[in-house]
Amino acid sequence: MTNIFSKLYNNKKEELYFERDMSPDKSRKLKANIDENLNIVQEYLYDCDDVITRDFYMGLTPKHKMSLMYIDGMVQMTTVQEDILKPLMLFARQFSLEHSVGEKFFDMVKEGLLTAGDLKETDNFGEVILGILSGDTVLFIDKLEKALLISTRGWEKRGVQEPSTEAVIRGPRDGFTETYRTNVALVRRRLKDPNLKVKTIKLGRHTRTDVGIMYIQGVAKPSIVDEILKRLNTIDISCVLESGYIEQMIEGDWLSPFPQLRRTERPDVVAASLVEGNVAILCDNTPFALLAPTTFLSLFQSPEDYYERWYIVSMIRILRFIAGFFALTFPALYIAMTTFHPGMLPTDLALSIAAAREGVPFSAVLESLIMVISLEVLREAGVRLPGPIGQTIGIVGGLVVGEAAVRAGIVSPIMVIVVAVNAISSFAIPNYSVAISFRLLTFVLIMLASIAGLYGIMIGLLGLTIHLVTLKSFGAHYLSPFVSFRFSESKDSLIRGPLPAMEIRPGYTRPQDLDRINDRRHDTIDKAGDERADE
Amino acid sequence: MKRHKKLIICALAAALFLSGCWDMVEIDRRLFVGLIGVDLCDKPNLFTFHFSIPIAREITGGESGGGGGGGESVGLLTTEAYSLIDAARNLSLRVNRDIYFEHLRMVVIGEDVAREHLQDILNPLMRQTEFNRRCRIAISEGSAEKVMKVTPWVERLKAEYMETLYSSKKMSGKFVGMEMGDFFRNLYANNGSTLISKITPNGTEVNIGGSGVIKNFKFVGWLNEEETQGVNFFLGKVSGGDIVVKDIEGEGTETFTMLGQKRRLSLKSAGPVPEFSLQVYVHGNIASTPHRITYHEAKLESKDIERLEELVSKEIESQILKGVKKLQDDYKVDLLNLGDYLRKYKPALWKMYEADWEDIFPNVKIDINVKTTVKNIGAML
Amino acid sequence: MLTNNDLITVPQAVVLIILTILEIGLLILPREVALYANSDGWILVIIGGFLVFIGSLAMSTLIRRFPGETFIEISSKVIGKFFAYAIGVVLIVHLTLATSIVIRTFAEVVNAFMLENTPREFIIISQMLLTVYLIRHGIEPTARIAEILFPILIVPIFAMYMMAIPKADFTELLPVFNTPIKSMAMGSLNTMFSFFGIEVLLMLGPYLQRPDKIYWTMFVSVGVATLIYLLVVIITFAGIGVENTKTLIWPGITIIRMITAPGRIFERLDALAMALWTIASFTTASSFYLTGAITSYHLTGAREFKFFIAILFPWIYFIAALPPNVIATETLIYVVKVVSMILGIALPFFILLLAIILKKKGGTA
Repeated sequence: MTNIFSKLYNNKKEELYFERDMSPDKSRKLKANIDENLNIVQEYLYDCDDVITRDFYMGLTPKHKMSLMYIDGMVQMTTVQEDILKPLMLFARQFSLEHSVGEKFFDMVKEGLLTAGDLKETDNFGEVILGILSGDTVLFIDKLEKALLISTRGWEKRGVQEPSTEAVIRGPRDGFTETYRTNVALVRRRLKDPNLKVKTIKLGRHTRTDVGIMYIQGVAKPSIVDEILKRLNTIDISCVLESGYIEQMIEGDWLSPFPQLRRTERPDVVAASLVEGNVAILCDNTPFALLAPTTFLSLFQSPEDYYERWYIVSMIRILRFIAGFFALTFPALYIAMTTFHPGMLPTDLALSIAAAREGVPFSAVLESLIMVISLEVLREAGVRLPGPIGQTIGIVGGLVVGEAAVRAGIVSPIMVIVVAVNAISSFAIPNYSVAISFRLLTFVLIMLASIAGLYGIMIGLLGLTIHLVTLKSFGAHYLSPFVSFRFSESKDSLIRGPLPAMEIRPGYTRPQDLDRINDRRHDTIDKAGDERADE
Repeated sequence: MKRHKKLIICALAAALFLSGCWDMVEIDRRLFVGLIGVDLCDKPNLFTFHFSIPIAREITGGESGGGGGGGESVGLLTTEAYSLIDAARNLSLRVNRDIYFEHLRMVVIGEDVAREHLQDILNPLMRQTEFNRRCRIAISEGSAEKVMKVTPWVERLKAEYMETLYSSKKMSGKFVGMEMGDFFRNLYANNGSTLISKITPNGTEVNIGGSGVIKNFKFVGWLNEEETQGVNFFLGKVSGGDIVVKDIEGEGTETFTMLGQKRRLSLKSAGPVPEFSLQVYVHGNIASTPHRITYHEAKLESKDIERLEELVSKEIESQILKGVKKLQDDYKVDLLNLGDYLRKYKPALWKMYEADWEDIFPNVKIDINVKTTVKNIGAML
Repeated sequence: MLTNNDLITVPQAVVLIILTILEIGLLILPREVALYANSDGWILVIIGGFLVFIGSLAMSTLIRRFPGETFIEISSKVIGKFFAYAIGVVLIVHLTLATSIVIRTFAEVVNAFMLENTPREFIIISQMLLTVYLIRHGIEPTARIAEILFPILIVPIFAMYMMAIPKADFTELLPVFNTPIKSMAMGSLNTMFSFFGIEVLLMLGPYLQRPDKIYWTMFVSVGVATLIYLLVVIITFAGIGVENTKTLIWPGITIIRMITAPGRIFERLDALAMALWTIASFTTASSFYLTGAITSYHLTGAREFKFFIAILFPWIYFIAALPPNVIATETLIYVVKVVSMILGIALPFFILLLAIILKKKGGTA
């Protein structure tokens, strides 16, 4: 309901993006003496037993002393050995080192000898420490006040595999991993566009996690990009371990049951969204990327929707909407219909339900609450237990215990059906956060239904609709394209039109380039257009 | 104050939402009344009401009920009260469940009640929103109690049996099936006169043939099956049934099944007494003919078909005349929608007749012409 | 504070007006037209709609003539501040009354058809809380929600009335043109009253994105509302019969009780119709409530209008709870409808006339 970011940032125009990027303190400079440097670094990193120091000298004589520092386990030893130590220790012997230590010497080492692919020179301890902690190797040279940070990052990581939470029948099977650079590369492989930009900042006081945003310049609206960067820079928390932290910190309305950023593990989903004008937020150490802005309809879309043909996809999408509706309201509808308006049911059904409920000690409301709560507990239990036991609990819990409860007369069989349909429907919703929030909203609706029947449910649904209508995700109305309805933009909403017919990008991102097909982008780039911010 | 505003709203909302669920009644604490019967009672102003209530447990034999079949699947409750709603409330002193009328299928009114007190019964049916406008209404020959005591062998639910009987419109034209919505509409449009269904109890069955005549909100008499069919022909409501004619040539009868009819009513002349002309077109199939069993006997030729058509037409005409005569002479009430026709199509004329229509109607001449078409003769010549 | 993008687009304005008009009329209009013109009642609907459109032209012209200015400002220019403020106060009172009767009628209908024992106060307060929740967000969200709820409301209502056709006897609509002109005239006037709600556009004039399209807006709104009313009246006459309609309080709902869903999914659709009814009543009430708050905000030149929502709240509740029974409510409804027509048609006409005579115009937008 309230958007504090608009209050904070509505009028300020900030030019600098990277005020709070957790950059290291650059004030303390390196000394000339290598031993002093090493000691100072040891001061910072004392009691860190995984920091390795390797002293060596270049060439035949111990005239040029050098020292390496790195953290064992975070560097690729082969690079350290082959691309740093070997050239400096062995290949240097083939040259005569007539230059004494100085600028020329440094340039020779940096540009002539080291065969590592990525290096950076630095002159302050802040960067040195951060470099060591990130997996780079620091090369100290005696009598020089500069050091080299050589990128040797390499650690044990999971290979690129199919994401477990978003499996598809048809489509690519690679998913993001926990390494930031790999993820960026996975997206870049799909969008070989020079306009695909990546901006990286570091967040989290203790974690200094690399967080980057990706967008396609000329398609994504600049104000959205700016807004996201601004919000990211307001994050000042101690740890950013997962993109979930970021999501919760930059969301506009944290009271809402609906997520305002989408998350995905699949690079093809990210690539498709970027082309539509969205912005992606990638976070190190997590395979989940965030996409903003998002709308209500994207909660019901799965990536397969674009790889299959349109009428199948449309049918399935409509099915998902129905499932979503049932996931939200089915127990409440049951309570309303049986206790308040049995006139609405066909007579035979009413009699069956009445017969089934004879002998059940609890009222319908209590019965449904018991069943729904038990089902939630069972679900949680199934998630915690490893592998096959988890599946078994699901089946055992569902069938056997439910059956036994019915036999014992604790619940009526109709209630079991209602709750089972409810649970299964919530699994059909592609977006996990929405499925959870619907489960919680079920309770609210059950309460309302028990007070005023169908009217109570209507009040609940109307309240939800009002909330959805007024919800905005980074400037886009949550219920686009139904708001300001334009038929040409809505070909991908309730049903998906055939691909050749979807010519225009959805309007909620207000992309500057509206054509998806027959792209004439290079004629229409509009720098910082005249649209107002929608906050 | 501003700080407390949210608190006040929350308190208000909590007070409202937690104070109770006023309309909530568990479904197994309700009794669904399927059938209502009304009879006269000795004491003045009182009627005897019978409620037929299906017992859910026995109908479906749910798991929690356990076995033990053979119990009564429908219960019958009787009480004396001043009106329908009064009866329901009286019952609450004896029955521990909420009486619920929304699944009411049929209201059966005893003959005696209908003669004098129809209005008293009908008023709550219209006023209370609980009653379904789709429930059927009928007048029983004799007392309604006998109808209520019928135990049908076809269905378990009495109310279902009786109500769905009226759905067999495609099989016979000898009855009148009416829902309460239609009933009220006709009643008000015709100044309190309408046809009404008739129901006759007969052991384990009921018979819905024939119809009743209501005039000025009072029941005045019956029409038998043939007369009812005649009136149905007049009104254009026949969509099924059969006509049996005597074979001219020899013994035996021929059966003609009706598929449908069209009819056209027109004003022939207007004068002090208007004259109408009715043109009825009936089409149907030949269902059965006597004697034509083997090929060697004469087969059906077109002149036979024409002859049959004439016979059927004559029979239909006589039925219509019977119905019209009964209405005109005995009951003197216009249920043939003639007044309606005048009112709708010839409003200027209607103004002349409106006031005295009750007296004019019995003298109205109607010229009836029926034309039958045989569509199908089956698989045999 | 009104946020800067608080303009209503043309489709939003159309839908907002339609949903504001379409409330009480759906329920009671068949009875009223039957009382005046018997089977010609449906003609009254057409004539009434047409008259309303003509009458709204005054309002539209006024808004076009003074683009971007609120009604209070326009009246101040034309007839002086004192009278403008007096009219403003009358408007606020009228809008408060309108909100109350809308909510009250809804509570009555719910009590009669859906929940018999639930106290009226609960229904009234729950509706009001919901309305307040919406209105606090501003004008554009209210119009937005109308846009979204419009198909959800109209399509099922349309479908339900269509399902009543098998039971309908369309000859009930005869005889045609059989009513004396006098009753037709009186009836049309009365039917015009059932279109109350158009004065909302008068106050929301400055918030329209395209005030130049306001003629088109009014035409479509009044046209669609007329068509829907026409449908309801015709089907009610055909289904229940003209005479019977005259005796029922809410014939619009009674006809829905006569139908059943295909395949017997739901035996009685009226509870479902009532659930949809909630939407209609909710949009109308929020429209009036919002307009009342906006008018007060214009009148007093305050900084924000949310304050007035709270001020009007207890008044609306008291008036909604006031009438002891439905007959008294009918009287109140009648008063509100007449005042609405005066404020929506007569008043702008009068001010427009004066503006033309005195040659006052608004500045360019």
